[in-house]
Amino acid sequence: MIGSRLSSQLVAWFLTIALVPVALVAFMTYRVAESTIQREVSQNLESLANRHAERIALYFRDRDRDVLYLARTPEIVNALERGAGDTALSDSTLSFMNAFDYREAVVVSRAGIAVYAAGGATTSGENLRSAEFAETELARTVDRAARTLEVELSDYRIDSRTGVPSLFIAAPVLREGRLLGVVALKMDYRDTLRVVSDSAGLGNSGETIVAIRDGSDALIVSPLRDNPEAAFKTRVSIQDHPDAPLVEAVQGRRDAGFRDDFRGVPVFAVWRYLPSVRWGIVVKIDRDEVLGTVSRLRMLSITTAIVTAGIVCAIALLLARSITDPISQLSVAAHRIADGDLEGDIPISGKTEIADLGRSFRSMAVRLNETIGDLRRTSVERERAAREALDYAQECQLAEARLEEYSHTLEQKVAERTAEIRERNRDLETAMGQVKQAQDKLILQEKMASLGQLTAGIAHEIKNPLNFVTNLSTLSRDIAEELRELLKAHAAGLPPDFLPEAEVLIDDIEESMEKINEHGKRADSIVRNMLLHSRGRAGEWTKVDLNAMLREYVNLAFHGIRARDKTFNLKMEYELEENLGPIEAIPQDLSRVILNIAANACYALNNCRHLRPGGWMPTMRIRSRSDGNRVEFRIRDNGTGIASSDIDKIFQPFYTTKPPGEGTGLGLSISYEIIVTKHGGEMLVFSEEGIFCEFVMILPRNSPQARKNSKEAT
Amino acid sequence: MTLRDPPRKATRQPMKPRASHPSALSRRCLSIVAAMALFAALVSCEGGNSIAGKDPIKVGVLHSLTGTMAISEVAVKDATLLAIEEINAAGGVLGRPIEPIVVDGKSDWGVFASEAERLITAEKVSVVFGCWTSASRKTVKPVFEKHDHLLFYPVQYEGLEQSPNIVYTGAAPNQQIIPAVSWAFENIGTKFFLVGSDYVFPRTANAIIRDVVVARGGEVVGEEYVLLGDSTVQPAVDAIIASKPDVILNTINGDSNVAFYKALRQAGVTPAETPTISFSIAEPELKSLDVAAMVGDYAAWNYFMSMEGAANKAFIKKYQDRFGAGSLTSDPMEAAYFGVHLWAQAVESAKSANPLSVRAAIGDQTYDAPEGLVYIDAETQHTWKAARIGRIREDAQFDIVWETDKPVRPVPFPQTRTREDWAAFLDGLQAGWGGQWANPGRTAEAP
Repeated sequence: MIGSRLSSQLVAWFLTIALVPVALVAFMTYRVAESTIQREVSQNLESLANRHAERIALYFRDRDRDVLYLARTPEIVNALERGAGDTALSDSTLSFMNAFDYREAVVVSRAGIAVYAAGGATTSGENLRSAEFAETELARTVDRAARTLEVELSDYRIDSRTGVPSLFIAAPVLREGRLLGVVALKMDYRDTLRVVSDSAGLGNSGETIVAIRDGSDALIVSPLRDNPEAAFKTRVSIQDHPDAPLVEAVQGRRDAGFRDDFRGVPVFAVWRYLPSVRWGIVVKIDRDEVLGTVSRLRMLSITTAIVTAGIVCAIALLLARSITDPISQLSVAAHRIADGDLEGDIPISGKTEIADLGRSFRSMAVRLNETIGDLRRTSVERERAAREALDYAQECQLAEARLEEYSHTLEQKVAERTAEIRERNRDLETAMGQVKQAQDKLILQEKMASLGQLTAGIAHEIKNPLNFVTNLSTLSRDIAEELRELLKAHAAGLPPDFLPEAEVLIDDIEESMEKINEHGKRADSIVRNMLLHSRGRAGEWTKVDLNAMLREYVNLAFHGIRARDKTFNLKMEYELEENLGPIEAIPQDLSRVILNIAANACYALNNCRHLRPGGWMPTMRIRSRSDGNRVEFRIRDNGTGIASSDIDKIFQPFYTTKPPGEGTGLGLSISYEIIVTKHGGEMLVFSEEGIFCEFVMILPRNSPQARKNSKEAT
Repeated sequence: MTLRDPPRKATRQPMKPRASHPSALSRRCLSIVAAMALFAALVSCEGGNSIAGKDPIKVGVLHSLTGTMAISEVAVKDATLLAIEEINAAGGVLGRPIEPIVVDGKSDWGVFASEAERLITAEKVSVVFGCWTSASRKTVKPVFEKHDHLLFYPVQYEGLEQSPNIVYTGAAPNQQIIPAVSWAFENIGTKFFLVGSDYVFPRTANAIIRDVVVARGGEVVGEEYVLLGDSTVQPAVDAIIASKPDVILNTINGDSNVAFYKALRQAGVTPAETPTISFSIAEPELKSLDVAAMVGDYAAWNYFMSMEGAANKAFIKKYQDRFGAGSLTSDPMEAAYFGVHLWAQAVESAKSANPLSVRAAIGDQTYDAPEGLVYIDAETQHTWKAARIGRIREDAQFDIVWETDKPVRPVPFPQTRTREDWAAFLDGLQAGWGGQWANPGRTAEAP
């Protein structure tokens, strides 16, 4: 589980780190290659298309020259001058035609009569303005040449008279500025198409297609690569394929780009328009072929990515295992320590930070082991301190657990966490120091206890003289009474003023005796308390009047403070349940609790007094109530209260907020032990800093022994 | 930060929340990959393009907005601006807007030359669309050649010129004058009377007409000239009455036509008896003439407003939407309009508005113009177009009575004479007018 989680993270990260740059580079390379290839192909095709267009233009310019030359030859001029009938042209004209691959020559007079015709369907004497020639390209071109007095080219169409594709070129024949007629030549169309049928540099699918506009269609006039017979047979509807390059071209547009051609095949095409013959010329190559290299490159990129991903996965898994295995082992060891086995071996392998962690673990375990051993050998207090240490150890375990948790997720922060563990260890050392300190304090307390015994001795010694004081003061008062009676009996024999004066003196004596007696009793009470207090914990379970005890010890606590600060005063509100009844308790211990808490309350109120404005009355409220088998008493003061940050610690031994020398920090911890441990009760504290503090003690009405007995009885 | 807590950013990724999503970690990985992909996309993206705020391409529009030629040229200027607005509305050229700088040539050739100079040197325009009369074109031609700049000239003309710095979108002689004469021969008669304004176009056109008439075996029975903007037409009308021609070929430009036709009709010459074929009267000019008296006369152009075809209908609609219902369109306007579009196409294919780059790219450009497909001949920088003859109707429109069956290749130098002969002819004209391209009015008669 641990290993797999970390492993998957590592694999994911490795894949991200390794694949994202690879993917980006591959993507960019692919895009660059794609655009480069597209640009190259488009440039190639465009230059090819331009070359075709140029060659065709050049070809027709040559034909211009040919026909102009022919129009100026004396033979033609003479033939037109002589008129129809004389059809003899010299061999030189015929050889000219043959040499330049003309298929037909017609010399037409201004009246439209063919005065000479050779090589074709036209015969001399025919009238080109007759119905037979109407709408023929030959007649149109001849007319146009005569009207514009310029060389004119026909469209490239099927000649209705011969049924074969024909292309005518015609030039006016002038003599001394006068128009004699027109000479027309029929070109060998194959010659023309040869110029464009060159598919060099067009790959496997490339070709050049020539089309003309025929009504609402584009009519292909060149053979197609896959259909040599396509010329004048394949039509493409302009309306149905408005975006086909061929259709664009015959409509006179020129452009280049990726398009679907008339067959629906995606192609890269460059198209041009030739106005002289109204040709649309398309140079195209199938898109698949153009982008073949690109798609191969894409495949290569994808393959590379997959292989890289595989390698990265393998490496990442290996690496993850090398990290997670020691962590898992450490984790197991940590669990073992948590279960209390401090002797087991902690595996350490390699020199990595994890190994450091293991070593720290090991030394921690050793230290823990030692500490626990030490603690076991000490007294009850020491055990408590050891428990404390164990708490720390638990905290350490908690830290370990947390560390473990971190180590599951954060191998790259292992070093940081290791440092933290070391810090924990240092904390542990500090804790050990605190334990030692506690030990010292305990020793001090032992000393205090012996001091208490000393006090008990002294108190006992004082108690005897005090008995004399109280007893004799009572006796003295009785004696004074007797004296008074005596004087009254002998009043007659005394001077008249004597008796009243003597009675005043006796009253004074009686009063003094009363006072001596009262304060003697008070001193006796204090001494008895001292004895109670110093007699240690070996108290007896007896029935106790809790209300009386509260009054007595709260009062004592107040006077304890009052003794030091005469100006201190407070309001005490007793809300004691009258029918509380006796409870079973150890009176010495219980009185100690009351004294402690009440003394703390007085201390807090006294401290507070100097900080509060006038009108604030230091108040202590003491309440008691019974709740069936349980009895509860509360002591509340409106003093400084306890900070919420401190409230968890107040029951810890030696924790005190009092200035050094004023408190031992044991009062509350001992109280807690008395209420909770000895009496099986509960002790709670409620406080709001600066407003109040209230301690709540809940005690069972009967002693644990009594409860046990009654339980057995039922 | 621990690995198990995905950054909050990841949750903002637009991913489909799925119940059985692999794990927080893989989501994080995905978000990183997504971020990288986004970065890559941003890097490869070139950003949006709006022409607003982009550096505009300046173009000059140089026409007479005042003076005798304003009647014809203002509308040509409007057609030019219409094309520019259309291109700008469609995103401009090279993603930049076109900024037209309209300049008034004031029907004064000297002003044309100085304004052309200013447009090129001070305004630094990329091209100038302009001129109507050949006199203005001839005057600005040296300016464009000196700066190796570019002028788009939209009006049919007399030919005999092939400047590398001018793109001619109007007709060459073999696309208007010569076929018109041939047509007249075949359809009207053989006796021609030539009348024109006294400047380079009519003089040269008539020289060519004479050649054609001679070639055809016809007869020029008279030739008369009127000074540009002048209304002294009676001598010409008198000569027509005296010579009794079959057809009058009219190359009078501008306001003089009003006086000429008025005098002609007053003299009793009617279209039925002696039709006139005009080379410089289009639909807008007809408006200022007495159309009723001209019904049956002819004009030779490459474009008529009455032409069928979607491209022309769209052009007329856009023009009328822009400049008012009832606005008329004409051949020079149409040639100016598609000239701008051809220029824009050339800029796009040259990927630069630099005049030299545009010139290199203008050859072989085609455009589906209102008159049909036009094509710039790379060799001559003239335009392939069909020749047409229209007969004037009562509604001041033309019925097309004849047209060539396919666009005619432009040949600026008619074959009837050699180039040297034509050059000598032009030199003679210019010399006769004291170095100018129009009769300044003092010289009595040119050769």
